[in-house]
Amino acid sequence: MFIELAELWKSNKLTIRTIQHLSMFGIAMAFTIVIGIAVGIIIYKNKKSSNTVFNSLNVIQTIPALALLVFLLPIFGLGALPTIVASVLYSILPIARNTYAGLTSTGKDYIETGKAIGLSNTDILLKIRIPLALPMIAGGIRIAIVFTMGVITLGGLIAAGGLGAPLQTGIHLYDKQLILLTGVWVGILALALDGIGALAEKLLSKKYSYGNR
Amino acid sequence: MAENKLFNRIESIKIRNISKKYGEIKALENLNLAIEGGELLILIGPSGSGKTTALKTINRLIEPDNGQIKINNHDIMNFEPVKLRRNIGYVIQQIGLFPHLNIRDNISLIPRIEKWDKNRINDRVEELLDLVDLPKIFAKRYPSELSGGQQQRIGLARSIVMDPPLLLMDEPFGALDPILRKQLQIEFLKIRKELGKTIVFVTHDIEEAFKLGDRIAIMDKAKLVQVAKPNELILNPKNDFVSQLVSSHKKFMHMDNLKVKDLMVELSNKYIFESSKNNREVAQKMKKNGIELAVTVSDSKLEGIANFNIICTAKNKDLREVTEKVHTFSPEKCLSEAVAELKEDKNTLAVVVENGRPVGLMLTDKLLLELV
Ligand SMILES: Nc1ncnc2c1ncn2[C@@H]1O[C@H](COP(=O)(O)OP(=O)(O)OP(=O)(O)O)[C@@H](O)[C@H]1O
Ligand SMILES: [Mg+2]
Repeated sequence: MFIELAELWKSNKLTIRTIQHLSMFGIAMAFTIVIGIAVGIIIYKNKKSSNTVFNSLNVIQTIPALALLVFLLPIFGLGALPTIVASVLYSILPIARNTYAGLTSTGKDYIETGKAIGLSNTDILLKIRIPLALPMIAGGIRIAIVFTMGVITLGGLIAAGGLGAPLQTGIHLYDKQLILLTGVWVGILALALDGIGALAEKLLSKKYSYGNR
Repeated sequence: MAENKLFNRIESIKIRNISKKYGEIKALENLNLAIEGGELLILIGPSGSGKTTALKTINRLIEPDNGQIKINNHDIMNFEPVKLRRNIGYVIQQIGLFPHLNIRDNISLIPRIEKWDKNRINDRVEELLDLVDLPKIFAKRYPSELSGGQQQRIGLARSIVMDPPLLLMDEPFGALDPILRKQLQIEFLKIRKELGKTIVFVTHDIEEAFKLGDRIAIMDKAKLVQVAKPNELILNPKNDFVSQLVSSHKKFMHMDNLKVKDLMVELSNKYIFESSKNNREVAQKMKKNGIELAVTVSDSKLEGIANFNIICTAKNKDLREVTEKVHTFSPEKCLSEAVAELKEDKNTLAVVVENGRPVGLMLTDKLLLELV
């Protein structure tokens, strides 16, 4: 049984697929995090735009991931690029939303104290609001991790490579074993990444917690 | 650095006719108040009377609807708010340490923004920890690891890191239990002496006000009711509200805040006799004025006292020869200490002396009547 699975792993080049998968995931997450936080901060700075931006991001979110991939085909063609673009578009919302919520919900006392001791508005944003929003931002990133994992896996359908590819193959050949092996493996990876996210969130909440005693 | 100092010391703060409304609510109504450089002024009054609002107008956290505030005769509206606030320390009740920064970084937030070098920051943090009586290792701890009292001390340390000549404190000990509060008050008095800053201090604890304040400003319903030294408030409360607040009817509670001069009997000239005078002459005068006690002086300086009966039994002698030594006090002496001294010496009488001249009498029985 074990040998059989190892054989299956090898013949479907699952190691390379995993590496492909994780690098797409890494690139996508890097963009998502940077853009997501930036969008959150920008909306925070221009509160009037918040409704428009969130509505647009919400609309993207309501499009099924598969449909999104298809929409992007005419622009980006097939492969890894449209997959990464789709997953970024799909995962910005939770990070942007949590960033915005984190920035706007900073305790009034902290803001007032910051002002009183002579911090400028920029200082308050950089040294108080953003650090105190980090646990919430981490929460958004965790959700984004799950989203991104899903979209990247779907990328197999448009020749993006990664672990979506062997899943595709399995489905085409009706190879239950391959489907199961890849599926379980993707699941394990997703759980592990989410676990890392959870850990980071927990550490941040502990360090940046509001509790004073 | 130097260009960031707006003032080296406070000569005066003049609050002129400032008002602040929130919708229909009047938070401050025509407040006029002059704060002297170096003094600790208490703002006290019931909840919602406008104390915090008044305090926050001084560092422009709140801009009044009208009126003007001048520090050393400069209108504070001409200062950039951020810069002004870096020249004015601020301590709030809700501790207000940043939970994501350790103690060192909490204290040195502004110095780091002003790009002090690392050694200078570390030295300053250690110096301040020392001042507020906390060990140096606390620099690396986080606020959540400190007790309420310790956090409050850090709040004080942070407020003076830039060495501001003016300190605003909004119920800094309000959140602490009574015992800790007393202890911090004592420490604060000590630190205050070392620092010599001008301080505006909000409280609604009258005991704290009397203990710490050089002067006390009493507020009620957005208005200033009376501002005066503690003993003046007790002796001359402007109205019933003040009288109630300071419990001026119970003066014995205020022995620590009253001075000898507040309750002495003024000495009129008819009691005073040159010691070179002949007793016969003195006795006659005393009889005429109906007095029992002579205060004897030579060259206007106090010599002592002499009793009418004794003067009468030695009519051929000079007053000097029957004069007895008497306990003396300066008019500025704290009343409670004076009473304690009298009790120690089993005296019922003392003469109040200013520059060697007798100016008043302290009579314990009379005192008792005044106090209770
Ligand atoms: N931002 C605000 N918006 C509306 N009303 C306010 C605001 N700040 C203060 N007030 C009102 O102004 C009045 C004075 O408030 P202030 O905070 O100065 O009182 P205080 O004397 O400091 O009271 P406390 O002892 O409870 O701290 C109160 O009636 C308060 O409700
Ligand atoms: Mg207040």
